[in-house]
Amino acid sequence: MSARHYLTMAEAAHRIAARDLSPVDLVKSYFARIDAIDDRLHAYVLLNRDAALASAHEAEAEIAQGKWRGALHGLPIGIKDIYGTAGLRTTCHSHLLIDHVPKENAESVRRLKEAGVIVLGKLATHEFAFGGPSHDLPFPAARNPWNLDHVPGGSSSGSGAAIAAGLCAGATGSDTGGSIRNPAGNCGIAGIKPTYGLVSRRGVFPLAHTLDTCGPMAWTSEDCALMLQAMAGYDPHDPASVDVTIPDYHAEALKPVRGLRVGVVRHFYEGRDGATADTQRCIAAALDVLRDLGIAIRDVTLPELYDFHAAGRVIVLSEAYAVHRAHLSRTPELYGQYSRERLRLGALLTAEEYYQAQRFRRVLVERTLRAMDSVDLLITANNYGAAERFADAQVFPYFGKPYLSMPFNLTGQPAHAICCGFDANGLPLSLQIVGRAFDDATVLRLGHAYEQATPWRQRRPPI
Amino acid sequence: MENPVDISPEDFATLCRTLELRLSPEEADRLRRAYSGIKTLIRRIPRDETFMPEPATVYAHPGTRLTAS
Repeated sequence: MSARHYLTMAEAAHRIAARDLSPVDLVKSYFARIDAIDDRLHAYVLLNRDAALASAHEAEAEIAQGKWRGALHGLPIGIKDIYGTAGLRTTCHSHLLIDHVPKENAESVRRLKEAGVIVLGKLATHEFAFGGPSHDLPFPAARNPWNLDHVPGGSSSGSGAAIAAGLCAGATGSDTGGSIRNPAGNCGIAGIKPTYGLVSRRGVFPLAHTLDTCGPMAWTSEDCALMLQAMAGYDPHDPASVDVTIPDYHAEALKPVRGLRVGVVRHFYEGRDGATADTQRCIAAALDVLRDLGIAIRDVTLPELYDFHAAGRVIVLSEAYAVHRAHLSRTPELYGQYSRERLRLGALLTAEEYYQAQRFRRVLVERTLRAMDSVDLLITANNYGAAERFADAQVFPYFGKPYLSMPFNLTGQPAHAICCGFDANGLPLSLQIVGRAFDDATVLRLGHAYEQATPWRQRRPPI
Repeated sequence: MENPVDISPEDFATLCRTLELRLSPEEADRLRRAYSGIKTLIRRIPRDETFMPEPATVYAHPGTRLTAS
């Protein structure tokens, strides 16, 4: 049997519902694990110990009275520190907001708490989901539990590190250009960037309004489905929110996958300038697994990755600068070096360049959707290889290889990162599963089927 | 490799003064190189010069609501 802190959310939910596992004991197990290793991992920037234990006692009492709210009731999670939490400091990992205590929960946090989760604390992030892994912020950068010399990825760095190391059962993340999927891949967990407009961003600090997406991160695709169930839903106070019927993601994720049609976007990651040989090998093996599951696989061609990269980079830099201009001008010293310098690059872009990037984005969206006419899902690499070392981090990482995640921020499609093996050094590798807008359920279904058919979910980091 | 967009340190300093960006010499040097990088990347974005473009492909805001499939 797994240690309590390594139970999946689905396993823990089953045991809590059967009154075979106490939420209080579960919360204590996580805090014991945090106390034992987080001084090396730095996944948390703030612990919510007393309130979490009080919530666990309340959950236990409710469940004992037969008032089980559902699968998330009594499950401990962490919250990325750009999500507003009522009465709990929300710093965005920045000196600028070091004493900021919101009065209200972000809408998705409110929904998660209503579903019964217990908030263990606030998780490290790149500053404002943008500047990291930086050395001059109020809290240390989170580290990768598979090897502490390597980055966990970002910007949802603490979320990825904490889940992999068993410091929470699940976590919230946000994804503007890959900030859920990159750390999910680097830390060997699962993370879905839902369809743009499915999960409310209200109360979550913005980075780039036309790309920002909130979503769940967890050890498995099934657990992501459980969290997404609570997080998804229309919010009239988020102008991007869409009023669609929310399916039963968990039930959908468990359905058979035979007969699904998958298009492989090889030109994103194959060839000399593509992903590492280990990543290419793992994706090829993953495609064999999917064929064995009865999935039809063919190649598809999307627009060039560099085209997505160019449009996406202009949009992120322009919109992020608009958010930060006033504070950046008045108090630049309160930003970390990486945020400060990256944000200033946005000042050098023109309105025409931003407009043309948004226009080109629409062209790319239409070409991508057309390429999906004959398939249900896409698969491509998530990261080029395993997590880089801290020593290799750059202030401006934008002018090398284009991000593999950015295309699906531009198109708004759901995109899910899952572990597909390990490199020779034991670091996790990952692929992306991409679906049609608002078909997040099918994306999670394929992720779950693949995880069930492979051994990667049995392996945890050595920390 | 495409020729990168270049800007002299003097012209870049003038641009930064205009935009009221206060930079140390090291920051200015890094930002000037990043400026060259982003402006070179932007060349990939075709500039639409159609005087009366198709509304659906040009004016639709990408942040507008997606249609459920």
